[in-house]
Amino acid sequence: MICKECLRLIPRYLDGELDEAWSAPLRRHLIDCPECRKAASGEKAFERWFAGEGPEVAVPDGFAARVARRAFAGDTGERSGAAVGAEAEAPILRFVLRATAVAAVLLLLLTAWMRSAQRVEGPIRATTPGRPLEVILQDLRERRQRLLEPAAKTEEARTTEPEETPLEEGPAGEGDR
Amino acid sequence: MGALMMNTAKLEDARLVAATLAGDQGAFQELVERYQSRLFALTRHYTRSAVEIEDIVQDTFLKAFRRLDSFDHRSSFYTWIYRIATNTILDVLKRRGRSPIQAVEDPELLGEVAPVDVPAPSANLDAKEVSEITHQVLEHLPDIFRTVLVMREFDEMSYQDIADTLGISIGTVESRLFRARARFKDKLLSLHPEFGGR
Repeated sequence: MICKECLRLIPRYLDGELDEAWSAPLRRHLIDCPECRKAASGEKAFERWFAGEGPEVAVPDGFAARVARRAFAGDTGERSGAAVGAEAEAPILRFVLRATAVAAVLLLLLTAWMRSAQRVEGPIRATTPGRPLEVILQDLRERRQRLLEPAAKTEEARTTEPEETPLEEGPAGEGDR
Repeated sequence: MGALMMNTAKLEDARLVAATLAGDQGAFQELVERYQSRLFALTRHYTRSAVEIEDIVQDTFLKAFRRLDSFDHRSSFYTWIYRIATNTILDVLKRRGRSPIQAVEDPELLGEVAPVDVPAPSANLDAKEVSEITHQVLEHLPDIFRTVLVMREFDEMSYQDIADTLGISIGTVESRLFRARARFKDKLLSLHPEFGGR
């Protein structure tokens, strides 16, 4: 066996995954080759980084009873995927919410600006279709007044004429009775 | 003696599975109690979030319950549920946007890695400190490498079991483990250069 082949097989050998047909020549090579022996020893030392038990994780109280209850209640166990999916969607949702909020604020500002612009141009407002009712009524009253003015003058002229002519015969106070 | 205990455990599992399938909620609760600690420990290798760990383990048991009638007793109950747990974890990592295990492998990730010499942990470090450093390094590895390291180094799974669980060939397991170890050493030295000085 050559060194290159030996080095390739060492991890598998240490993992107990090498069959005897390969393990026997590998062992013989390791006895004869200090360099490969050193490499094998280094690999074995590396394994000690994984010798610990790993971080302790406490199982929450009543976990088994809760899971059994859910299982018999028909829970199918697709929740974590969905929850994580929702977590993945969260940044998109956050962006949409923020964009909507910004758009709403801009809309409010625009509306406020348009209203203030309309107030500055007040007289125009009175002639526009959207003018207030009291203005329209005042306008109508003025128009009515203008229309009635000639008729009133005529009537006035008609009612003053009989004063110059003699009254109808008969007692003056008859009508009062 | 060990074989006898394993056989007893297998028989007990078989009894609990049969009782669960017959509608015994207590039997399923017992089954959960037997394996919950190991699944919590397994899931802890992939996430630090206690809530996420609990969710994943719970969903693993719920999925197992749903498929319990497909458990054929050829493997141990733990091996069977371990696969469900691994797939649940990988599914969560995938949804979270992490590197999928069976995806087309990124050549950058799998490029040739020069073997680095890393000594064993110093005798000054206690087991807890070693474990903390190891997990810190693991968290920096792509999931494609972390998975095989966890399966092999912590759960002492055979290449065949890793291959079956991940749906890859034994040859791929071997090469992936080789690269994973090299990556681990490299990352260990970049995070803790003091370990390379001896």
